[in-house]
Amino acid sequence: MIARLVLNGRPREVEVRPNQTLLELLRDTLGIFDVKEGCDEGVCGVCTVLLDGRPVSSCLVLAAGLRGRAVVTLRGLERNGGLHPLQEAFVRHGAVQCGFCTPGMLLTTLAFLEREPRPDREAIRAALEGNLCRCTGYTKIVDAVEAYVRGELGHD
Amino acid sequence: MTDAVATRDALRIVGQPVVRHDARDKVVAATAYAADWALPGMLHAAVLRSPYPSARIVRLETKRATATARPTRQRGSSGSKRNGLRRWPASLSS
Repeated sequence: MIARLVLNGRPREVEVRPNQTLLELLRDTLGIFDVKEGCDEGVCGVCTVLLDGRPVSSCLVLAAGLRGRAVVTLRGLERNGGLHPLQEAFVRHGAVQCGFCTPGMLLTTLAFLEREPRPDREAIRAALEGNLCRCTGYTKIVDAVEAYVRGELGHD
Repeated sequence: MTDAVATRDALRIVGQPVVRHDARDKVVAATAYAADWALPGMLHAAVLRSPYPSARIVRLETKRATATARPTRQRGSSGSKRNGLRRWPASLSS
């Protein structure tokens, strides 16, 4: 069957199996590797993409049911080749170690900040509780998000 | 004491926050992890462990596994070759 979606701003129609997930469509069929596969059961948040602006675990979304909805992966944040200021904050604050959770962390954070632009530390932690990180202990990730919110890196 | 501080401050690495050299690639997901590689003729393997602790393995039934897990290459629209099998039943070479 055919899955229709708008991927990072570009409309796509792709042949999929009825049981194929969005994660499988992105990685296996389209070769889009900025989406990572972690647990494959909706627990770890690694495969997060934005679906109509909301963070979802792409391993739990069926590709055939997309019906033209907008999917944004990390690559969709690119701005004329430069880093997004939130990405810059992650680099500067040591929020990246192995980097496997990073794409999901960034996308979840940005979707959250759309709804709540000036969160405190507690709210940031709560927003990111669905994204597991086994390296950093979260402190530096929350530091990076806080720095970005404070506009330390030229944001706003 | 002040000498020690002056020495430390003059150091390039020790006592200074250092940006990880691999962080930039990772925030744009340009880093390729093991699961992101797809090479021509790549072999996939899965490990099957006994469901019974301390049991002796007397025989391995591989007929179904070898029948299912025959490599079938599939071409994604990106042109990357991937093994067409995604959820393998554990396969052991006999």
